[in-house]
Amino acid sequence: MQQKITDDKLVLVASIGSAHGVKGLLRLRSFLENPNSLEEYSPLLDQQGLPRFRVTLQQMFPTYCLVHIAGVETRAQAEQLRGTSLYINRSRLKPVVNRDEFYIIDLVGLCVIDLQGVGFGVIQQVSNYGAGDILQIRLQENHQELFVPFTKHFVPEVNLNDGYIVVNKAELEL
Amino acid sequence: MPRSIWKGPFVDGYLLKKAETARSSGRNDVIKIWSRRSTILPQFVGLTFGVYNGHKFLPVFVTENMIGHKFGEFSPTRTFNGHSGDRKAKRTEK
Repeated sequence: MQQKITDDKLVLVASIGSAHGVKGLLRLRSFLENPNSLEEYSPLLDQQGLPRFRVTLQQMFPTYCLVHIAGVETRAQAEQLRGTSLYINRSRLKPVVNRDEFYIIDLVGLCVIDLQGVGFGVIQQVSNYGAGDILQIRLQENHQELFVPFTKHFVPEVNLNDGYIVVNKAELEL
Repeated sequence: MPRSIWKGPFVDGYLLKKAETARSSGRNDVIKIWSRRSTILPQFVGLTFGVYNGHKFLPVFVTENMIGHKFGEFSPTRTFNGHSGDRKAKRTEK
């Protein structure tokens, strides 16, 4: 049930879209906060964790970026990569400075326990619709979803090492 | 054309009562509301509302810079599941 943070966990950072032009350039959809940091993380890994993609940024657009991948020189080669997901190891992410900040990838999958220490769910997703971060928890008993604001009042403790968070369930209307 | 000043912002009446009750009780419960059309007023700051999106109640913790917006703006009705990448979540004080 509990999931500990491991450094070899793969983090999805981009996906390859269509080919661009005849020289093997590719459209890339980046999932990073700053798409420019794709080059820093290069070489990017494939789904098996092998470093296959040495990426060079060519041009940035609002919704995608144009990249060159080492070894991809023709349009035919570029088209073969369409739909490929690119990963990095969790250990490559910069350490968090603020102790109340957490990588979403670390939070997803953590066990959720109440103030009495009884587990009742698992974090499925973390979203933000403009009013703060919200934890989406899947309940064990009925597989329904519970939404919890990510505040110190509702989440008094986050323990990444032991793989759990404590949620003040009493004040949530279930 | 913006809403006339003399008319004032629109808020469903029951919301004011619920907010008042929650504030006087001193608890930080999530207040379930269905009124997505209501304007966020200064007296709602610091309270957490569960705003219905047709499916679930999404928690909305009201802060000062949300005043004047509608509750529905913070509870989207369509599903969007993006990839988290290297994004971080911040645990706030309240």
